[in-house]
Amino acid sequence: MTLTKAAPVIRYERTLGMTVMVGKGFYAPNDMAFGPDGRIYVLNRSIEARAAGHGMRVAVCDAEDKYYGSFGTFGTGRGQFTWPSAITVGPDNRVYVADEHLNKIIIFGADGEFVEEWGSAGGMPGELDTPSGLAIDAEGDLLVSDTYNHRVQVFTTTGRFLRTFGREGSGDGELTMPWRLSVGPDGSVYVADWGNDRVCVFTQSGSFVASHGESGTGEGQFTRPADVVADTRGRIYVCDWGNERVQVLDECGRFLQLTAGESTVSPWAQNFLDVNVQERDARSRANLEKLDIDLPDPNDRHIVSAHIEKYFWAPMALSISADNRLFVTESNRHRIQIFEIVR
Amino acid sequence: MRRAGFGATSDELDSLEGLPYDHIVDDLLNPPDTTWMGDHLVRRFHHEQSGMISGFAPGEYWLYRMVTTRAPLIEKVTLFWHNIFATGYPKVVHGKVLSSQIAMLRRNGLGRLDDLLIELSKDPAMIVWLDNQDNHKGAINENYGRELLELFSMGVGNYSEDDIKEAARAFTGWTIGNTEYMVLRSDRDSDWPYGRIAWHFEFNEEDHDGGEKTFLGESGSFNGEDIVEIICRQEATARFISRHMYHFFVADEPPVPQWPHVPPRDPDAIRQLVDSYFSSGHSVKEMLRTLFKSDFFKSEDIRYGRVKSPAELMTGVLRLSGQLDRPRREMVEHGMRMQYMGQWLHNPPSVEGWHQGEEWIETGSLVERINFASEQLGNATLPGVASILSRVVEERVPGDRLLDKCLAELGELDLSEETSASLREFAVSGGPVDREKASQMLQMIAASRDFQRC
Repeated sequence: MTLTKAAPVIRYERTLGMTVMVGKGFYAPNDMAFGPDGRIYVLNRSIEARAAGHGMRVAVCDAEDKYYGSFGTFGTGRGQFTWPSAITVGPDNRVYVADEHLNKIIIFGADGEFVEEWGSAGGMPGELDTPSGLAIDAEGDLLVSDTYNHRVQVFTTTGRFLRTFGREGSGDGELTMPWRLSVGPDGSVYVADWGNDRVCVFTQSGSFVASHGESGTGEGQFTRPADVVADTRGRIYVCDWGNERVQVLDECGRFLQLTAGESTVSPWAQNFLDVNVQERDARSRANLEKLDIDLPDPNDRHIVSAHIEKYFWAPMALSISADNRLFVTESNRHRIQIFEIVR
Repeated sequence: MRRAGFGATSDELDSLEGLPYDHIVDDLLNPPDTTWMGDHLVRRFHHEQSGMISGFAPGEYWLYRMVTTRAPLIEKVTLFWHNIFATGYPKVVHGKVLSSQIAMLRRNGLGRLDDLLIELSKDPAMIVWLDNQDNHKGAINENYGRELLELFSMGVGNYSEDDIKEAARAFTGWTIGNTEYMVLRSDRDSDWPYGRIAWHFEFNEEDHDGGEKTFLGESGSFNGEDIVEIICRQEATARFISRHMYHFFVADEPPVPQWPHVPPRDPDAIRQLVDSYFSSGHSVKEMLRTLFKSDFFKSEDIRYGRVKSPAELMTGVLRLSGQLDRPRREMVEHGMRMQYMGQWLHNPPSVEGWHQGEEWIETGSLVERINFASEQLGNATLPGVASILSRVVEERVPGDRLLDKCLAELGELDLSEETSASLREFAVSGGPVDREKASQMLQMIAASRDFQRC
């Protein structure tokens, strides 16, 4: 399902990944980041797979379906994850991972070797309570979405506290349980103001600029947005998590387009089906896009997405690549849908 | 509140003080506030309680609802039905559809039994659990027809083998969409390539046997709805559901397989519930209204007459401790510990559900139950416990009143005379009451025999 106000801004291109606990694939991925040499770091957060040592890992691949391996382990020790929540890559090519249970930032080299970690729990400046979003600004500093402190904090990449902005509330410059955040090409900071059903824009120094959206399921309305990014033309892409869709707004916040996703079978998935022919053949006879099914609440997008495989189901993160493509990471479908930004 | 819900904090009891008993019952049955932590908060932090591939996440998700809901009877009734319509992960192999079944029970659990049984018969998890997708016109699979009569409505001895076969014929064509692919994925535990795909009910008219049938002495070209309607008119159905209700909400009865051979503990109570069933048009809510307002429910004889199930025990403790004031990583361990206590929600030991009562208690499970309760209530950092301890200290409760104060804080509990005497002795020994001593008292109450019952 795609709705546009004018010519579409994004067009579905292909899907990357498939459900795999171990090895080539993803399992409950919740964020991704672009690294050097076209690498993509995909953060996986499966509590259930932790016993096998594989539930918490960073899978490394590229957009052309090449898989390089993974790193990271479950635990509370140095360099380990318990509830990894966000990932980004710095200009130093280091990989930064936030853990919202341990309240720390864990740093790896580009090949996954543990470098260092920092962070402490609390509500004072420089302390964290459930860090759930990461971004690097133009100065090379690390922005952290500090969920239960309802603010954004800025640190050097070595963990020295610099400043904070935002406070609890729903007014201008206020936030309620922010989730992910990003830095736009012009240096503006975009924050998914999850609890207020809107996205907020700040200057790099933290001055409030604007907020866009309101609660709801209509165009330009959001239900618990998870992420927000901006392109070089200032257009804003919102991961409308609670409505299981992605919306595109213009630079002033006016609605342009929305999509509920249209995934096809990825090369990794096709490879699985080619090997498992019984499933492939049964799948070919199934109708996985049947919309006239009797649901207790047909307006419950979570349930609709649970039934229709091609739709987004728990889209949690957005990323725009250097070649102008939008990547949508879906936790419940264990994949990344890729859209071309066409205008 | 212990038997109609999961217990109550002293604050909750204070809010009810002065209200007429009947008013409280009516509010439980028609809760003015049904909020709980909410899907969004849970799904944001527990991704696997959103996608629900496995058999663990649905139970953890449900535990959040039970612990944080302001309408505890809704969850209690849902738990009641889950034990009767027990559907398990090992065969269904799909956490999402099991959770959807619980949502269906939540929506219909207080309504008319007829509507509940029809929704149950259309429930995709139930269809696969009892093989109704293999129940075809001209080649019946009688599994669902048999369990509908034996376990879900009338009980053994009230129908014939022919009735089972005729019921099965009436449910032919009641299946799930994309049957071949979905069942194959379950058989192979396949979550490839993109996680679970939820199931939906589908009526396949070509596969439905629309011919003449004779069922429980009545004849016609019955379909599944007709079968349920006939079942719900039976006295045996009313008695069977009433006895389940007494067993779950009032006092322990023997395990269900013994019911044909052992009379009810309180035949008059069953009679009252049966009358309520028929006079209300088969309304579960009205049966419960009758039950909660009855003398047999209020009787001193049956106080603490039930052993709490692990789900009830854990929910009650977590509501008191306040640990789940927000989504917590610790929930995952709670789900595991409930299994160690003998109850894995969505994975009953058989189609009969769990045998309740004293069968919950065995050496290993008892240790786990006591450890869990005393760990939670002995953890002074948890918000609910911290509040209790603060009140005890701020009110300067003397040693000889410490036990009563703690029992009041834990929901106006009663203890046996023997246990009370031991704990009073502890309370007045040593130094004055401080947080440490009060904390120890909470732990000892949690470890008592009486705390295991409701």
